Amino acid sequence: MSFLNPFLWLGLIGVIAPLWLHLRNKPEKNVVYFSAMRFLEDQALPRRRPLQLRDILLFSLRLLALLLLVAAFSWPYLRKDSPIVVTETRVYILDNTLSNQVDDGFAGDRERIRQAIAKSGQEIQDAVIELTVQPRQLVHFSDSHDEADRKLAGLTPSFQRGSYLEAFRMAGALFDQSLGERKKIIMYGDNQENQWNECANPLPFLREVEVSMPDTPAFQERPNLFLAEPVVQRFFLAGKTYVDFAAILGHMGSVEKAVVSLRVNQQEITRQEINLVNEPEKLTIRMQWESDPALCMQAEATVTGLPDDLPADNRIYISLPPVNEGKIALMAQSPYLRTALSPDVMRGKWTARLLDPSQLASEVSANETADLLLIESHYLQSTHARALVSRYLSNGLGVILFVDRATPVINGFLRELGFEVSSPENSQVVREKPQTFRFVATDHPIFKPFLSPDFGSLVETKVFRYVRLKSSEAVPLIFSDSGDALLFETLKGRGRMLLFAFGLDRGQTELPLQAAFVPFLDLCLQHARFSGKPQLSLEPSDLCMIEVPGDGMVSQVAVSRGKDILVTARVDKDKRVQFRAPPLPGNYAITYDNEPIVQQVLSVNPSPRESQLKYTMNSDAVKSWQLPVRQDSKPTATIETRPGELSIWERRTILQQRIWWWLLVAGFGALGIEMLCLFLRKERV
Amino acid sequence: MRFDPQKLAAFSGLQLKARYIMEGFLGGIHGSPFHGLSVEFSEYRDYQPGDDLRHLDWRLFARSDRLCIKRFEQETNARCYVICDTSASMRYRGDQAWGSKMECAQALATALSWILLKQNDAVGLMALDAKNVAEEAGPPLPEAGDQMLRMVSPSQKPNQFGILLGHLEALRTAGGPRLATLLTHAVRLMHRRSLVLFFSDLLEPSDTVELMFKQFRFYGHDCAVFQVLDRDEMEFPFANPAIFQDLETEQRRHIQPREVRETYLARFGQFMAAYSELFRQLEIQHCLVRTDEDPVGALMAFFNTRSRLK
Repeated sequence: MSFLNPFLWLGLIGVIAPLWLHLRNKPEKNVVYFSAMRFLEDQALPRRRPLQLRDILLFSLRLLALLLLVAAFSWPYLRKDSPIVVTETRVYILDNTLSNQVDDGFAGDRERIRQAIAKSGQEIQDAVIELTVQPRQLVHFSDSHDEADRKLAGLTPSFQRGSYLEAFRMAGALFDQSLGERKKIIMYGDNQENQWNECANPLPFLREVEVSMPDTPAFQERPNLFLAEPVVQRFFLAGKTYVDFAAILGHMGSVEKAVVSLRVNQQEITRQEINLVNEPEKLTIRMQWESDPALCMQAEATVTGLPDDLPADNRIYISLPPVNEGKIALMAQSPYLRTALSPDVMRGKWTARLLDPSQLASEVSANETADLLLIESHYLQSTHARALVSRYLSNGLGVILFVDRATPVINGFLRELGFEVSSPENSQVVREKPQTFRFVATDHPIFKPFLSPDFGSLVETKVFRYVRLKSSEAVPLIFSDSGDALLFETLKGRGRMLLFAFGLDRGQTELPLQAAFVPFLDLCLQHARFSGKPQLSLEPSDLCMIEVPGDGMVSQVAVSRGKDILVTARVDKDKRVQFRAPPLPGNYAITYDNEPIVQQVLSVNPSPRESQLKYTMNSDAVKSWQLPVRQDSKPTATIETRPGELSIWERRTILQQRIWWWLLVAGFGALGIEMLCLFLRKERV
Repeated sequence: MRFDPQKLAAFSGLQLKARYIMEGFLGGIHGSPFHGLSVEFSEYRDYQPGDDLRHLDWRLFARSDRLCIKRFEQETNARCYVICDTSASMRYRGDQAWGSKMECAQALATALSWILLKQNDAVGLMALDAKNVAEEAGPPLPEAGDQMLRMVSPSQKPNQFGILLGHLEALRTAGGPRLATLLTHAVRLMHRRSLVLFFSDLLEPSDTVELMFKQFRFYGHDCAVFQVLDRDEMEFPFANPAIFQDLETEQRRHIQPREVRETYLARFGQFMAAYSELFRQLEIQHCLVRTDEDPVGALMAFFNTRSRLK
């Protein structure tokens, strides 16, 4: 029984009609209500025909209403003989990911689905799911063939990546609303190998559903040339600013040469030919060029070469925001730290202001604050220093704390911050053998650049003395050989804090002597500076969240390309804004409140997994999604029944419908008795 | 003073109608002849310790130095019952009438109650109501099948008129013949001799009604019947053929008024003559009230006849 059934609504109208007639039934005309009828008792009784006719009309209407209701409830039974019986439900999955653009695969699949829907009769329900980053139901069961054709014709190839599994899950859910006994999913896609690998081993979710994939891959692999995973950052050297760019150049098949060109701010700065013979499938290309740090950099790298079956992934977009000089409030005696933060080293990136310990009270109450506070723990003996740390954190600013000393007062403050000092007698641990940075969270933004050998190595850094700290809230980022955490990251209040378990002193560590010290310090400062650093490199239609800095005056964020505003989103109370990235690759400007100033640049690039043009037919995965067939249910594979013979499932359905029949016939009988009583009463009168 | 039935119909409240009728009545007779009806002086008797000093005649004491108590013809006031028929036939209202028969009866009953209460008589009420109407109206009352007896005990309290007015206004016509039932209950519930004022159209063919009137007289009650009728009932002025439906039984007849008018009037005359004869025999005052006429006339006729009988 479905509420979509038109008979149900006809039945409803049939029920309402007699009620409406009752309500609008006007008083009879030509009837005199008289009190002295005792003197007229011998006069003739009136003819009953008009009354009968009226009652018969009402009776007919009630009867009609009941019959319509019966028809509505018994629809599944009636439809056995109906010329528009729905016997099969088909859900088509149309792969509209980037990889299916190879050889116009998407266009071909779309045409095949259009033809299949046009050919399907009224006994087949059709729905189409478009596989993109978020699978969506493009054609609904209720759509006509013309409407479905129009919707399919309006589709354009996308640059997105979507999950096969999600599309199949959606298709499985659609069958709950379907009428057909036979359920079928028809997948039109390119059968990318990595798609099937990602779908391995989920819990079964398809019940009694046939799955067919007409597109059998003709090749195991297609030639392709692509650029992916761009990494770009600035660095400062000898008073100049440079941009370091790295990306993966991938090639599959028999590509021998590729030409890589780079355009920065509309100007081509390099064009380079690369020989790919006997090279691995993925190469890292790296380029450096001098750049004005005050300018926003937007660039695109392009690779060309033949044979290339998927040209859409030959271009990647990168961007860098202009450098804003950060302000640091410094309370440290370490000469290394003071030197590293001096204008000679950090000019253009960081400006350090040394705080006078005797003037801390005025510093605490002052309105002016820096972006960051660098402090050594022995200053925390002062109440004002502790208040200063708390103020920075509560204001959403960054704090980097070097625990070079542990006293009861300092330990108490650390406990407030969520750290527990577990060193014996609250003093620093001195190991016989110097500890090194044994385990490092390499995926963390501070350490990720060190995966490249150009940034130097931190692994050999030795630590001689440190304070053993434990925390249930903070995330340890570096562990020593003995397993003690040497660096923590924690979010306190609205601010972010990095806590080193040692001081930057020669007696405690040799980190300042490492070549990687300054870049490491710079990365630490950048990371602690603003927690709302947006994810500025996205895939098409990816979900993006930006934390808006400032005093909360920004109410709307717009994403635009040229003069076209593509996305607008409102800032929530937590100063965050969430939106979907544009569907096409490119660099997009982010502006606040319709102001022309570009605050950030968003780079949208295709997923590198879409460039892997390797194919397979993984029917095992589809089988593993199927739930076991119920014993009492009709197996999908054996639908055929002999003419005139009903299957178990059909018999049960009809039986259920018969119950409805009897109930409604009983209602009809009650209505008839009511009418009979009415007639008898009138007869007696 | 002349009274226009249409003008009377314009009054919405029963109290206003009653006042209107009362003022007309008093203006018409130029002073009420019934003032002090129940406080007539009878005789003197010697004072006994414990007698109410209010009744001591101080003038006599001054003249004769004797302490005497004034005695009156009737120590207590008269008890009056207003009995109102609420059968569905009382709902009828003809084209010329200023109100339905029920409304007319209510107005007359109110006016008479007022007169009686003004002369310090105790007035009560009896009527039959449909069960649901009676339950909404107030405290529980004796049941009579699917009907309930609405009864207000006779009293001369200052607020008695308000109570009577409320109950009279709440009366609704419903159901079939119920006069016989009402009279049966009334006979059973009246223990002292009382003045009984009936308001009914008497359009109920029942021997019980006749029997009950006889019983009323047997128990010594002073009865007066206000037969409220419509012009249509008395003259049958209908012209066009129509289906007539009885208000009480819902029985329908196809009537050709021109053909049946004579028969109807003859039967109606017999009906009225029979009741007139009955009331004459039982010495019950019979007062005919038409709903298209001024009710003051009916009141005047009632009191004139009553003074003659006295």
